[in-house]
Parts: sequence; C-alpha cells; structure tokens
Amino acid sequence: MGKKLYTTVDVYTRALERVEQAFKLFDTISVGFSGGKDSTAVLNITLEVAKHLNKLPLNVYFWDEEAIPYETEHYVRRVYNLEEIDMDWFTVPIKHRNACSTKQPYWFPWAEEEKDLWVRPKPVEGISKIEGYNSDDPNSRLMIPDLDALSRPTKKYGTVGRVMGIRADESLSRFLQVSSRAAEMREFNYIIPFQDKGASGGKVLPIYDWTTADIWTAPIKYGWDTNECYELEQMAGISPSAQRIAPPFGEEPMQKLWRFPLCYPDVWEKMVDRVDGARTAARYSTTELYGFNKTIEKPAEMEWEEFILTQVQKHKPQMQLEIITNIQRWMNAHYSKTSDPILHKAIHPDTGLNWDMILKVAIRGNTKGRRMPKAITKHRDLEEWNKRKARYDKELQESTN
Amino acid sequence: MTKNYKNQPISDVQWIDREELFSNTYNPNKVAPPELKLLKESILNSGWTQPIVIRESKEIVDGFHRWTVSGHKEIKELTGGLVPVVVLKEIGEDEQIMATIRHNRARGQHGVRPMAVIMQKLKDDHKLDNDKLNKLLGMEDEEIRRLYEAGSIELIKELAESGGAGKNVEHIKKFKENNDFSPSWD
Repeated sequence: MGKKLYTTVDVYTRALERVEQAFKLFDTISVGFSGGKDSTAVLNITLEVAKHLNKLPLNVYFWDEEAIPYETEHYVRRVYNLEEIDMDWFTVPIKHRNACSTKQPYWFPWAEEEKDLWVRPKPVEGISKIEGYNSDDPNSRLMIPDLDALSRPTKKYGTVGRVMGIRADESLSRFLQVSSRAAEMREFNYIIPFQDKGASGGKVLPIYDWTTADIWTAPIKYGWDTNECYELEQMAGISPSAQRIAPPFGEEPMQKLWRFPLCYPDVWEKMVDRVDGARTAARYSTTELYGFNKTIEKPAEMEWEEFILTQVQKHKPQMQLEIITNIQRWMNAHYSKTSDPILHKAIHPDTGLNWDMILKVAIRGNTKGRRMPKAITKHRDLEEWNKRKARYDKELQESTN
Repeated sequence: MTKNYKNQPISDVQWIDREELFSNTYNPNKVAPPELKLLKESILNSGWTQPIVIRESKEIVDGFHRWTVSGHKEIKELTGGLVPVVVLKEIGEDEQIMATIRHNRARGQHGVRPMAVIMQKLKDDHKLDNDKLNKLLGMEDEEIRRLYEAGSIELIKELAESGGAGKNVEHIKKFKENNDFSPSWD
C-alpha cells in the first residue's frame, strides 16, 4: 500500500468487495458514523452489502461531540430513523482537545457539571452511559478512540469489524496509518487489527483509496442523503478537500474555526462561551499567535532550547510534559542519526528536522504523539535529498560565519 | 434619555477640509484594495452617511479609510474636499485607542445562508448581472457563484475534480473516461 499500485477495478466496486470480505471475517460489523462525507460513503456501501448478504439491520455507532452543527444532528437523525439501521447515538461525557486555549487544553462534551453551557440540548436518542466507563469523574474521561473499544466489548459482540471512512488523501498522518509497513504484510491491507480493553477485531478501511471527487460522485450517482454542512461550507469558500465536520477545537480543525460564525451562527453563539479561547482562535488561529505559518521571532540572545522552553511553559503543566516528551523524541531521533546541529530553517536532509518545526509543536501544544517529519532517503529521491543538503549546508555556513 | 441627545457626538457633525485631519499611528485595521474600492463605491452611490471620528487635535480615531478615499478625485468633487466629522472631546490616548478598536470590532459577520438568499433575490428578481455585482458589492464571480448556487453537491464534486489528484492525475483521468469512479489501488 505504500506506493500506489493502480488496478483496473474502480474504487466503488472494490469498496463493496472489501466490506463483503469484512462481513466474512468478523462476528459483528459496525459502522463508525460521524455524519461526515467519508462516513456517508462507508455507511451506504456497508448498507448495500448488508442488504445483499441479508444481514440487516446494520449496526452503527455515532459519537455526538456536542459542539456540532444542527445540520449534522439532523442528518444523523435521518439515518437513525432508517429501518435498516440500528444506531447507538452516544452522548456520553468524553475528553476532547482544545487547542484554542493554553488555560483549558481539554474540554468535556456533555459533561453533566457544565450542563448549563451545553452548545446543543442533548438529543432524545442519546445514550449517556457505557458499561465499564466512569464518565462522572473528569479525570477518568476518555477520548473517542479509547471509547470505541468499550462501546463494542467482545463478550457481547464477538470480534468487531469497525468500518471507518479513513482516506489516504485526507491527511498525511492518516495516510501513514493506512500505509504502514505492517499493512503491506497483511493479507487484507485495508484491515488494521486491534485488541484493546476487552474488545478485539479490526478497523476496516474500505474507501482508503477514494479521492474527494469519488466521495461526491457516489451520492450524486446513487442519490444518497448527505450532510447539508458541506453545502454551507462550500458557499463559505472552503475547498472540497478542506471541508470538515470534526469537532472544531483541535489543532487542525481550529484553523477553519472562522467558518462557524459564517455557516453555523446559532451554534457559534453557544460555542464562544463553551470553551476557553474559541473567540481568540476564530480570529487568530492562522497567525503566528498560534504558531501558524510564521513563527514567533526568537530573541537573538536566547539559545533555541531555551526559547522553545519559554513557549512550552505557556501551557499547563500536564501538557508541558507531553510536549517536551514529544520534542525529546524528535531530537533523540535526530542525534541518533547524525551529529549535525539542528538549524533554524533548513531541514536536515537525513532527519527532516529544523527548529521551526519544533517551535510550532511548542506553541501549538501536542497531544497526539505527532510523528517526526518525514525524511527522504538518498536512494528514494536523490534529487530532493541533494537540494535539501545544499540548503542545509548553506545555512550552516551562514550561521557559523 | 431624550433630553441628552444633543450632547451626543453625532448631534454635532461638522464639515471640515480633509487636509486638516491626520491619521493615528496605531490603527490595526487593514482594508484590502477590493474593500477600499467598495468603500469608494459606497460613498459614490449612497453619499456620505457616516462621519469620521476625530479627537480635538484632529487625529483620526475611526474612519481612516473613509478619509483615505475622500482624497480620490470623484469623492473630493462631491463635497469640494470637505468631510463630515464628529469630535470625541477630552479623551486620553488609552481611551482613543480603545475607541478605535471598538468602532472596528463591534460588528457582526454575514452568515452564508442569508447571503445566499440575498444573492438569489438580487440575481433572479432584480436581474443584476455579475458585472454589476462585481462593482456594486465588490464580489468576484467565484463568490457570486458559490452563493447563488447555494452550494450544490454537484458543484462540490466539480470543484473536487478540478482539485487534481497529485502525481497520478493523468492516470486517473484516463481511467475515468470509462468509469464514474477513479481506479482503486493497493
């Protein structure tokens, strides 16, 4: 899967085949539905296969993240009400990243203690308790990937094939998830096995090779119902590949936070009081205040390590530790490969690292154990490597002069 | 309340020569060229509707861009170089700076859905064409189209198609001559 090897079969047909195979491999097939465009595709494809195999109703789960547009809620409700669908609509308190704020690095959708601040009223369909999950105590609240396991325990569901709408062209980190070496060694390259907290099975990624255009061809061709959010975001001038319905306060979605007052004014009114920093991020998330593009200037008298530490210290203590661990991991990886110094702008040809990248992580905060920037090896792309090397050498020379 | 309205700055709009005013040094508000053009259009179309806010020293508190375009020939001719001002009396530097920010910041944003409804009305009922809308609303064709078509998923698809697919764009294009979807890959 690492390098694309095109076949003569179209992505739609292949997706059907992959899902059909997944039905054979797992005791339960459950669609992870988000209301987003990719999950529209996996939902309808899996439904198609389930009909064909006589496996209706189709098991579906949806994590309601509270600060979502009403358009998404309405779309999810239309799906919920379909007879062929058996959906768990979860409204349990969960833990969410809030990259808008250094004071409040996490927020808790549907937290009982903040009931009067909820962005939307809790939907009547909502399930607010999961067995084995203590959501009353903020400290024991989990993020969604961890809850996936608790919501589908083996003792009740057997092995679970979680069908998810992850695509390689969505983002680099997701692509890496799909294209890891391990995947090349498995028989079914679109299935990532898991065993976690009393649940086992595999993440099934039947549409990993779809393009954004394919994602929209399908509902037009087959008349699928879709989330109206995309039409609003498109009106607001957001390009099709950048349209997202994910919770808007994480590092990446935050950069498009400005779309909320434009597209979803009713939800936005509540959001500004729900999480700290939302208004600030909507205004400045793509500026140097949030480490975007331009970074903050390092004072000449300060060493890089020292300067980065001052940025890390703007975060809460717990977050500081996570950021420093991550930065140390990067730096260790660098110095295990080379004794060359890390430079301000030029990335090291063998490790892909420079101070600007580290600084960005320090400013934005980081909870995802972000991967080290990818280095290109000499034998894979010699031309690019030489270019980077030349740039690196030039800056090194200038900085030592 | 009514007895005090005469004390409000707006009750005392004066017309003074634009050359007497001068800009402040801190104004954080930047107006991009298309919006500046629209501002000029606005004054030429509706006339002067809002005064420039100044201190007694004649330093501008709010309305720097109205003052800028008042130097343009056509606008200057409207009033012979006079501009309407109101004066904030006896304010310190801190109050002045904060007044500037408040004048700029205390305003809303146009929601896309109501804007789409407006666009359809202007185009369908009032038969305004793109050339007129470009000029009178300072909107480029792209914005007009997105609002007018109200974001159909067909349009999203069309835009996604034109977004390209990286290195393999030619390969996918060829495959799609015979297929609705792109080729799968391993």
